[in-house]
Amino acid sequence: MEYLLTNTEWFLNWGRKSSIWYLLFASACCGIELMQAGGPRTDLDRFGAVPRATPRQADLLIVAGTITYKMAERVRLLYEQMAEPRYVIAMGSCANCGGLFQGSYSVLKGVDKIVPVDIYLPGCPPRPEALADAILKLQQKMSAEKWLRNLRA
Amino acid sequence: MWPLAKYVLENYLPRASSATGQVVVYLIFALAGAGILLGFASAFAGVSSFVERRVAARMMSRVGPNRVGPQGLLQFMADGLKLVLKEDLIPVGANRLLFRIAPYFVFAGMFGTFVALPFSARLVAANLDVGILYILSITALVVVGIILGGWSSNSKWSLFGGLRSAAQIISYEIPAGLAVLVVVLHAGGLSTQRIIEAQGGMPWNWFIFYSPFSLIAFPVYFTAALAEGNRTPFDLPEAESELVAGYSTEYSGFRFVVFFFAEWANLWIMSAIAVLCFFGGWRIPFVSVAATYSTWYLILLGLAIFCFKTLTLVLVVIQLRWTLPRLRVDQMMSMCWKYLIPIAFVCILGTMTWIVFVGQDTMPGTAARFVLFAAGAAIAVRQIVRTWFNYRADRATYTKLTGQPLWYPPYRLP
Amino acid sequence: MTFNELSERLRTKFGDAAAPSAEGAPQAVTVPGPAIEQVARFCKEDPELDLNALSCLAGVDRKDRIELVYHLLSYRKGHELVLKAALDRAKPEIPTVESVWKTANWHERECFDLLGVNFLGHSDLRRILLPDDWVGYPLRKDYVAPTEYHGMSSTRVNPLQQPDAPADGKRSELKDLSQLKSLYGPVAGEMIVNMGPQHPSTHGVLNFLLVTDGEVMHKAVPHIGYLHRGMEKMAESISYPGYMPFTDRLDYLAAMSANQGYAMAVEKLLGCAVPPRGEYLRVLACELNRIASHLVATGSMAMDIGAFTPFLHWLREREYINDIMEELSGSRLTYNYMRIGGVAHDLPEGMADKILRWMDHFEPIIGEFDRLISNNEIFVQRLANVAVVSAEDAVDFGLVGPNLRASAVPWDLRRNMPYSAYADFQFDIPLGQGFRGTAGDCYDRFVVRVLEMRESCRILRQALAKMPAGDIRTKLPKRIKVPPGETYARVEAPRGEMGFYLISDGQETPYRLKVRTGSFTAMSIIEKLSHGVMIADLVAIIGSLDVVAPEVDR
Repeated sequence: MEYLLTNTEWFLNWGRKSSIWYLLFASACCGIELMQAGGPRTDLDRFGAVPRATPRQADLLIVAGTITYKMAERVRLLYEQMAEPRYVIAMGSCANCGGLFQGSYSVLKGVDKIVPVDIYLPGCPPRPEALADAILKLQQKMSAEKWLRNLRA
Repeated sequence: MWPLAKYVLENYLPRASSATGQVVVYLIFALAGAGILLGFASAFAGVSSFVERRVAARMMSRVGPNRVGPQGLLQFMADGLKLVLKEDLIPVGANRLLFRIAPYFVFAGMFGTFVALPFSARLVAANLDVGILYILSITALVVVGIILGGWSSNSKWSLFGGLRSAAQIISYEIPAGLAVLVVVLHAGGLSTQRIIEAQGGMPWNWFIFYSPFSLIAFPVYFTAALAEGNRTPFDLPEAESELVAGYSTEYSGFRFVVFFFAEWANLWIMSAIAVLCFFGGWRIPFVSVAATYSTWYLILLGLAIFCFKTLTLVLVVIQLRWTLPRLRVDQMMSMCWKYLIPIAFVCILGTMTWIVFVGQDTMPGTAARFVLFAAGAAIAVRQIVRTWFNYRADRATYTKLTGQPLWYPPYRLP
Repeated sequence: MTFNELSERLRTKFGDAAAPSAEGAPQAVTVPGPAIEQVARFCKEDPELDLNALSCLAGVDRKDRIELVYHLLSYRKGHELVLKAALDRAKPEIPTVESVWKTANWHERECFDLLGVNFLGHSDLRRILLPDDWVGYPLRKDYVAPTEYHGMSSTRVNPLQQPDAPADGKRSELKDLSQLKSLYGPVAGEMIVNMGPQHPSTHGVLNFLLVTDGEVMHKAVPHIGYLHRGMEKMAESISYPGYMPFTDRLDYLAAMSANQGYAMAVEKLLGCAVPPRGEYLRVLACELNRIASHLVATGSMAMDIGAFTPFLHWLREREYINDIMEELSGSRLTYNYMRIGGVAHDLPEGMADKILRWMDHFEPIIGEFDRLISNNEIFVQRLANVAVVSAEDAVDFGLVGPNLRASAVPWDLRRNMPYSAYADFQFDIPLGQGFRGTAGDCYDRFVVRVLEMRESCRILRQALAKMPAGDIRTKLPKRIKVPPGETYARVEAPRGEMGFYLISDGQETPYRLKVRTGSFTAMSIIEKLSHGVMIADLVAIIGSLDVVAPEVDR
């Protein structure tokens, strides 16, 4: 039974990780590197990662760019609109911890204050190859999830 | 399916010839036929979504999915699997019943056309006498699904997308039907098999070259079919930059798979109708209709020819999507009502006069057919030659700039 | 006309009310607050002065008073003038000049938002950059930033030491989100749709509230401030050389122009000159950046209209520019290449050849782009005759850069007020002339950008050919104390005039830095352009005005 569950889980996780649809959310400079990552040289489409415009159909929220207090509530709304299972990559220093703008009065010091982050990606902005690496690490994280076995337990 | 069912019933199951027995056997065969078609349609939808991504990527100097299986071929399975595993969301305030059933209307509208498509000589699930009329009318069911989906999502953007799409599909059914009427006039009947049998295997016997009016009717039909399928340049209902995703904005998980599937299956349908109406369907050159009906390997050859022609048109549709910008709503509507419909009417009148005065097997008719075929072939050849020369020029530039040859071994796609 | 002539003319008209500054002080005409509107109107309408553009409206907290500084510019005559008005700090009030220059509407809202100045007679004085329920005025010297906003604290704890998140993933309590909707209640007969901050365009976080009747809009109200990072306030606590990376992020697509503007402002105050090779390298970086920025602008316009492929081709070309800039400066997007007094690194070996070879490859591709999309009939029909901006409106609303030139106003800072090494180069200024529609429509703005890319290639070739040898940077100490003074430096960024108004009081950090960007004023014209157009056209308009969020919000 355990064997069956593990292999089914491997197969289902393979399906989930091979087709990560991310939400097009580009706030600031990291957004341009996100677009370049979907562009010709580093092509995220190779991994099956397609940008989707609506949070309902996306399972990855890449928070690219600085989040201000005014924007934070919208980010939370977007995150809540996503269908589970959902993941968040905090891309760039500004999303990780406020980045360059630590001294600013209107910048949220890190997006993990409002959404749970799975992968922190440092850089200012991170290279597209770094973003591809983050997605690969997310794939590793996804394939290690034991949700089916936990359901049974 | 019915002739097959009847054949099996009479020869192999005589004891089941009572009324209920007949119904049961017919039902089994109908379901089996539907199952085969469903499998084919799903496989095609999946594979064509993958092919579209690869073709689009190559057009954009990218690569496209190539990790997920050998050369990325399992990508569509991963997509489907992932979408099935997603959470089943119904937005707050959405009308639960309508939200749930809307995708199935779209699906039914798309899938219902498969039963009347003639894949080859005997391979048509339901050989209806009103084949083409049935196909064109059942696709109208998608409008119901789209409006329901857009309205019941309780979201203004979905509503916009749904209504735009409904207006577009309803308007463009008219030129599509009128253009097909041109072909029906030549064929003398509505049955799809009859339309194909009235054409010939050689290109100059295809309906598209029968008269200049049918040569014009083909672009009219093609444009109208693109609009019906919500493909660029008519993809305003799904315009990503504006409407986020149109009527399917609020759908996730399995219901989205159904919308997804319907969109790609529609590619097949629009190309298949164009092929059977204008490009000769499954007719094989130098082989007569009767011969095709009786030999099994000719049936399979006809199937291969039909699929090949349809897939070529599907590729053209995919390339059009990634080249052309999209039309605005009022431009799209004016194109339909002010341009396509009058042209379609002119084509019908012209075809009627052509049939009466010129005819098909007369000297002028045959001569016109050859002339039009020559024109069409010249255009096609010119495109191919231009593409070849552009490719060679780009390859030379690449080699000059980088010093490396641009060459992929055939077994290793980029 | 020089400053003395301008101020003399004002004095003859207004007497002692228009007092020019003393010798040695920064050149400005001080006007008492209540008289500002008449003086402004005279400045605009007088045929001799003809100061038809308000470049920048800055508010400065001078501890005992609040000073408003108006930078005026004449596009026809080419001269500029600075007006100042001193306001009581306890109750700062001044009549609005919105009726003189329409662009003052948004500038004054920003001044109210960040400094608390009340503009009497303003049509719509409310916060623009900060959230509506923000308390306090950040640019005041005695401002204390709040420690939390809606439950989000403003300090950062080491995430590895934070306790585990609760099971539902909520990290903090946010205000009830349904209250957001109450800010935008529906009006009878019309539909209010929110084209929200997240939308699948490349322009960043911009929010529009559309009041529509079906497909046709009655108006589109922009809401900005979703990327307001407080760059101007942060400048007051960061040293002069250390602020250079921040200017990159002011407009990440045109980072070099922002760098250059800031460096020019500081150098003017310091009185130091940049060596010729440094100037040429600055021009090189700026023009490469201009090409890269226009690539994104035209590509994303094509993508908004629905053609996805040209944008990807442009991203491919941008990769080459990124490679060049990476070899030059070390970074792909926010280069931080310039320093105060010059540039950071010299051209490596073989870089000039590489850039020339790339230009040989790139210029035919602009032709390919034209064949693919610029002359595509559908594309032209979507853009021609849409949102025509007349020349007077363009100047009045403060449009600059390609937007202004597409409305047939022949003003380019590189030609009319040459700075850096631009006087050495020959290049044309493409003007909008109604290429397929009327002058000043969206298609003109698009074509002007494509033509400007070709002109930038011309400048690059000349710069590489004539590059002088020598130092790239004047030697400055690591810690710079800039002598007291103020200056306004303008550069022609890809999105228009970027002006840096810098006030120094002799410390190591600026006293006040105000940045005037082209996208801020471009956003303000959208509401006027949006009457009676369709939603699909709105996307085309935003794309054609080439608005990027960080420039709008700073």
